[in-house]
Formats: sequence, structure tokens, C-alpha cells
Amino acid sequence: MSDFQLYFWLGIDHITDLNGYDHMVFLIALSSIYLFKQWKKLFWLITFFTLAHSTTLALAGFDVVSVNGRLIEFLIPTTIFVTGIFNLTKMGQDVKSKIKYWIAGLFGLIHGFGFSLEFKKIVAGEPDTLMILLPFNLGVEVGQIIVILSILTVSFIFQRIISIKSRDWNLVISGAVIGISLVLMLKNWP
Amino acid sequence: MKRIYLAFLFLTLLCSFSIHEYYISILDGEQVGDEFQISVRLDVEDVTTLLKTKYNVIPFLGEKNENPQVDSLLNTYLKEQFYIVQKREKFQPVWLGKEVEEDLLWIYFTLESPKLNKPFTMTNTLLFDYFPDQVNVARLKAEGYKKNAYFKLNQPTFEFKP
Repeated sequence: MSDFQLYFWLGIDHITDLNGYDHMVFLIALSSIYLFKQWKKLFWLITFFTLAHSTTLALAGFDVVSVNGRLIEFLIPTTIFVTGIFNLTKMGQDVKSKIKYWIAGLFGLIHGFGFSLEFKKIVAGEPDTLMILLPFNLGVEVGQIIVILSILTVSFIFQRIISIKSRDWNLVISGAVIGISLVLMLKNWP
Repeated sequence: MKRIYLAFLFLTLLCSFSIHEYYISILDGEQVGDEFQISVRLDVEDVTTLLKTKYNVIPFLGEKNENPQVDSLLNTYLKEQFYIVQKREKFQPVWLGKEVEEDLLWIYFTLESPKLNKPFTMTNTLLFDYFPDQVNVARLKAEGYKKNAYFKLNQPTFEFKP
């Protein structure tokens, strides 16, 4: 297995892992108001997230910053909670609103710190950090596309086949997201 | 619909959510003479869980009051979970030591080198018995040789081809 293949698969695994599902819940929160036809908007949302996530991973990987792991473990569900609450606002339900891009970018920075310890483990002893970062983050992006496509498919089934209204779908999903993130926040209280 | 939404919120609150983050162990091996000099990096928290559950020992890894049994238990565990096989010959780790750095446990050992110009298999099931989502990575280096392997619960053995 080449270095590229190895780190690319690690990136995909990092996002699609069902046990560390916080990333997935965040993606669900980000995408709950979108439909297949708005895929371009969603693609840019997750790309902003990946860029931000890569930035903090790089900062941690190059030892530029070090973070308090316990605080980050609390902040990650907090970002999910805030996104869920935002989905309940008028602006949060507007697919044209640009605020979601800021949410994806800003919160992506925090999610990147969440993986920084694991990433330090990977880069230790390897001279070329950049050649790990690139395929890894490409894997993260592909992993997110896989998750987003799955979410859009489920959303399509509920909204177009079972005929649940978009607004109700968003309320149910955001309610679940808020509940899950609240429990995680309480569990990881710093 | 609001009722459904509130019920959903309530149900999720009632459920007990826990996350075991995506954990990776990294094993680096470099051939020096006839042996591989190897380091493995594992999470202190996960190894503590392992030692508590499997051996009923509270390890206090890296602390002043570290349990004196820790090295020997880790050595036993390492030999069970990590080995190389080439033509029915089994190559097992020879313990050198360990150190704790922040949240990471580094384990150092040597292993007699298999012939790199012939195929061999590596088995690395470290922590799979307690964390089914664990991913283990091995990176082997020798002169003119660099190969990686990726281990998961459903893929515990990897064949290195020349």
C-alpha cells in the first residue's frame, strides 16, 4: 500500500467511522435544509469545512499550536448544538443564506483540533508532513461527499416519497441533532 | 408535527450517547542489521482501559505510582497481538521499553527481520479486543524498501509482497 493510498483511506475512515459519529451528526445538521438539486451549495459547504479542518490539523501537525483536548471535546458537540439551533431560525431555513458557509468554516477549525492528537501520532517520525496532510484531507473530503450523498438520499425518500414537508423534516432532524449534541456537551463538560 | 419534533428531542435526551473517537495506532519499523527496530504509539486512555479490563490492573501509566506489573503485562499482550510469519516461522517482539508522552504511550521493541525479498504476513490486532473501531497502521522501512499496512477488525493480517 502506497503512502498516498494509506493516508487517503485514513481520511475516509475518519469521517465515515460510525463510532466516532460526531462528524456525521455535524454534517447532518449542516445539510438538513438542502435537497439533491442544491448539491452545489452543499459541496461548497463541506469544502469550506474540509479547508478549515485541514488548517487546524496542519497547525497541530507542525506543532504551531497545541490545544486543550478536554475543551475541544466539549466544543465539538457545542458546534453541532449551535448549528441545530440555527436550523430552527428563519435565516437557518433559508437555503440562500451565506451564514452556513461561515458556520462550516469556523466550526471546521474546531473539529480539526479534535483530530490533532491522532494526527500528531501519524506524522511523528515521518519527515514530510505535507505529503500526509494532502491525501488525508482529500480522503476527508471524499468521506464527506459519501456521507452527504447518503443523507440526501434518506432526505429524498422522506420528503419526496413519503411526502414529509421540508420544514417538518428540518425540524425533526434538527431536534434530534440538538438532543444528541446536548447529551454529548453534558458528558464532555470541561 | 411540533409534537413529533419534541418527542424526538426528548427521546434523544433519554438515550445514552457515547463516542469512542476514531483511534489509530501507528507502528513504525526500521530495519537495522538483521532486525527491525520498532516503535508503536497508542492512546494512554485506551491502554488503561485494556489493562483494567483484561488484567484487572489499574496501571497509572506514566505516573509516579505506576503499577510495576505494567511492562510485563504489556509485553505479554504485545506478543499475543503482534507477530510476523514467514514460511511457517513466527517472528515475535522482543520488549525494549515504553514511555508516556502527553496522552500517547510509546512502546519500543525489536523483531528479527523476515527476508524482505520473500512474502510474509504481519498480524496486528492491538486493542481490537476492546475497541472494534480501532485502526492499526504499520510502516516498514529498510534500504530501498518502504511499505505500509492497514489493519482493522475484519482485516487483522496483511501480506507484504516483495
